Amino acid sequence: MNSRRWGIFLVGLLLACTVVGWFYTPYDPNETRVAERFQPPGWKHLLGTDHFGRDVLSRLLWGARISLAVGAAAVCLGAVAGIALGLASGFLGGWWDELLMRLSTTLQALPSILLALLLATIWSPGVPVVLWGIALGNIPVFLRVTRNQVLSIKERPYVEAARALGASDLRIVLHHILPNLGGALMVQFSVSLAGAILAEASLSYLGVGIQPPEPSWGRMLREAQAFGALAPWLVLAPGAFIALAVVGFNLLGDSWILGRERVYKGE
Amino acid sequence: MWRRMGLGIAVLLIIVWSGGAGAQVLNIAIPQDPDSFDPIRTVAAATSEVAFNIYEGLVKATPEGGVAPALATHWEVDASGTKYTFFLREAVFHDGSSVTVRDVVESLNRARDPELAVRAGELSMIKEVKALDNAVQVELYEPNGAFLYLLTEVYASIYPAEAENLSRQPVGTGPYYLADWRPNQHLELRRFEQHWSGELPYFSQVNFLIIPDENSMVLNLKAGRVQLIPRLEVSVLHQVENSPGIKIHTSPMNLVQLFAINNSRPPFDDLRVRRALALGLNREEILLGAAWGQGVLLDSALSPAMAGFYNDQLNEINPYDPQQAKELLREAGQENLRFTLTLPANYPLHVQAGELAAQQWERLGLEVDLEIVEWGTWLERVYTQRNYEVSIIGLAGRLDPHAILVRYTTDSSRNFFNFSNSRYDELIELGLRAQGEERRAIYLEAQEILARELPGIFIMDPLQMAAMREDIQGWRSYPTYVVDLASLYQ
Amino acid sequence: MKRFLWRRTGGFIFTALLVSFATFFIVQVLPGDPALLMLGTEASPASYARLRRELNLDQPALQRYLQWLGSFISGQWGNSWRYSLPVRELVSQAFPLSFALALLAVALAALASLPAGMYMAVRPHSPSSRVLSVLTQVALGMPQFWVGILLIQLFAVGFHLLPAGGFEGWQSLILPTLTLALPRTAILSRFLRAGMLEGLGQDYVRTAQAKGVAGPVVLFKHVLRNAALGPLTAAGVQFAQLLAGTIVVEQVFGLPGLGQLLLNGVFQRDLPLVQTVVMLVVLVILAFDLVFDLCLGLLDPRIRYE
Repeated sequence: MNSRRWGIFLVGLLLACTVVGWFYTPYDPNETRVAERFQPPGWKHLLGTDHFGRDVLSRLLWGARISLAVGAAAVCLGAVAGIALGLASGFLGGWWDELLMRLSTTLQALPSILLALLLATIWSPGVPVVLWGIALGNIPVFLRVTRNQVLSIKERPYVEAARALGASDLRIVLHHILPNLGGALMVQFSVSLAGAILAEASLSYLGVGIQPPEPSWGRMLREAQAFGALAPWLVLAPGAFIALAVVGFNLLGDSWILGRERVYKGE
Repeated sequence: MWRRMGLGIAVLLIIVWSGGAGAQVLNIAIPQDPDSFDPIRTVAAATSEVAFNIYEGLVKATPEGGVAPALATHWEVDASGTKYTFFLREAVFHDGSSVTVRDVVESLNRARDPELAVRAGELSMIKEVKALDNAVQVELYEPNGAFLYLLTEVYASIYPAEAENLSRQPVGTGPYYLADWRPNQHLELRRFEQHWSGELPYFSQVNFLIIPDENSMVLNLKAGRVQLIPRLEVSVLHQVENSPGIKIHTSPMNLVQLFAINNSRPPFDDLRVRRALALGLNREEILLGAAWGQGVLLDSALSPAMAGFYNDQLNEINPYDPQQAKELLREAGQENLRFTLTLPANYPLHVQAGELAAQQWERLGLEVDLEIVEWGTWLERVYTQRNYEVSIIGLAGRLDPHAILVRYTTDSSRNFFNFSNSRYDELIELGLRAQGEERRAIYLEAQEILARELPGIFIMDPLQMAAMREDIQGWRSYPTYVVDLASLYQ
Repeated sequence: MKRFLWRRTGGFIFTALLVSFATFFIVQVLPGDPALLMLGTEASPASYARLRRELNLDQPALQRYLQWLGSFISGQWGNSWRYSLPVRELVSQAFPLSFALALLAVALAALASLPAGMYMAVRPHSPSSRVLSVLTQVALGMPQFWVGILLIQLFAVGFHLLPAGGFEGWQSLILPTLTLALPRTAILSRFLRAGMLEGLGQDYVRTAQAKGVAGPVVLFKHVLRNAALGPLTAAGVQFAQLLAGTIVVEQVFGLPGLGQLLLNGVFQRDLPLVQTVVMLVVLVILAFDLVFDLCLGLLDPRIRYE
């Protein structure tokens, strides 16, 4: 119960930051003002300034936009492909199912980061690498969730009834299966988004993700590492933001499960 | 695999504990691997840092910027100034073989062969290299004031005529030889007991540890696992400044940091565009932001360290004037110019300067895409293939102004700016043959041309900071990119 | 049992082959002309020709793939383009470090998650349990490199207790292991808690309790054994994440392991090196999964008949 509230709160906060950041930041996130470098958090700069005198809070707000956008886009891409394949796999069954599951296992053996690194080798570091690396990594996940749901729903009495009444396969998929996927997918989406934010941060930290001067939370941590003793707020702030965002999405996802469990127990 | 790992641990433990055990071992931290130890294939200044101790030429550089005998005991120049006769001394290579006249002739001939050597162009003044009895005679096309200095460069190193695979197994006559090289990890150099000088350096073993991250370097220095960082990144200066047990030697680096502009790629072939970029640059901010104020602003291709030739009257030519810059851009029709700034990832000084400059140029209304590439890629793409728009780099200092300025002549193989100015080419030609005041005046004018015609935008000469444990003595700063191991002791 | 063994092993080989094909495809086919990619657009024709010969680029892709596969299996991994050294040498220097780090982290995570998970299951409403629960959630959210940086600041810079970077012996592995193990511990203990909670609610447990069989005995013997399946399965899956995590952690701590080797290869477009290292890492992951599956099959008969 509690976790759901926290989840909504944190995610809501993150979304608020993103929306606000879209229209307004206290300072231009990329504007360098070297004379004001390394200022500790204070009235003028709520979270201090970095080594170029850029306002940390503004960069974090702007970075929220980027991290969320890239993360959400990547997860959506992966989800759309994964759901489509999962529907096919669960519904058609047999030979198709075997093949798709095999391919899914193969893709799962390549963690997102490795995939992204492979892509970074043949393309250059940047947003496409992050996007496709995370998207491809999410396909097997959504494939599995969808397939499992389809398999369990397929056997339900009302589906059999519909089929007996002559409903076409497509109609069954659209009217009976898809709507019931919603819950499981919401959970997965939330959890995947949490993973995507972490993945993007890690890739940017390694240097293959978002490139300067665009502020990415992961990149900010990479730059802050040198100044850890001099300006600890540069290390604490971006890391805290990442952690809160990820925890928020995880809690949200978890709470969906808890909610549904209660429903099932009542049945 | 396990045995190797155990051995590795044992070796490293020995290294760590050897301070008290009698063997004199020195651990130095450098940020990346050398590219190649083949004298005629290497292009990275950082490689010569290590190679300085392994190879020697006929002559070698001194900390004061002069030339001292190395494999040549002395030399004579004939009256016409074109024939140099170098008398060889008795010396032995690391593999035990004696240094013969044939080795010297082979090495020099390979170094000036454009098919083999990447920097062969620098020795194009040599007409012929002849073997004499225990001496080598080099004949030039014309008298050349820079020639002797060029023989101190890494490509003029002497190695056995039959040597193979020098890239990874260098054989030289220097006070140290390469005992082991694990890419990404370390290089191990050991004292060469048969060095011709008869004097043995203090440290019997020197390990160059490859530590790409400057924070790690500092922490290792503080912990005592590394005793010397020859080139401390300025961004971590604050971490060692007041540390007990650590001292810092500061000296001008004789390095020219500049924004390189590809003069042959439109719209950068338009002087107005280049000038606009120069006027839109607030170099004070870059000096403060990227170098923490540790450096000297430059308007010239030479550094103030070249005291006899530096032109210090150039600072009015390209002041910080964003208004003018915008004007020029409008004139040239390039107010909405969008270009790519390529930065070498492994030099934080350059990356940060580039980030700051990009911001400043964007204030002029331009759009700058940053592209950060690894060092190998930078050398390939920007330096060798000249496939870039704007980039940034530091050009290592040389002993003689000609060697530095000749880079900007139209035909120089090192002219990755694609800069071309006929008056400039003329001046450089004259400068070679001139002497004294006349020579100085020529180079002053040359520098002014560069400041006005802008093959690139000169930024600063950063200070070189060598950080070391307090008990390390004998550190000598050279005006070139070297670490002189033989002079160090504890 | 034998059928199970064969099926699983067969699956392993099949998947490994698919991955090898995918990797080869991405690295050597997708870019169009790998030589162009590695050398850039204006290298000398001689360099191109040389590289094309080295990589056998004039042959059709399928043939190249089979050749590469053959030499990979037989241990001939070619030369790193950047270092001109055999890939095998580079890998054998880096591999032990990464592997040791991964194993240590797994061991630590397994050990630490047992008491944590059990405690949270047995006393779900105590304040300590709630705190643990929150901590595990937070631990899952903190990026590994952040944890690493914080640990460095704390222990190496602040207290000068442990080395900050580079590899100088076993002390260098302490902080990286802690960093890697943290999220694994969190997730494993959560799985264990969930599994045990489910187990504790089962009918047979209540029956046993009603019959008067002592509490702790019931707990440890039955519930734990069944509950352990959940986290064990998870641990298997987690290993992939763990290896991916070592790449980041090695970067933070400056450890010269596979991760650094791979990263350098990526930045320098060293295609042969990247291809081989990725293939190796994935093989290790798949092998681990296989071993895990087999162990699980041994422990839980139900799985064998899937």
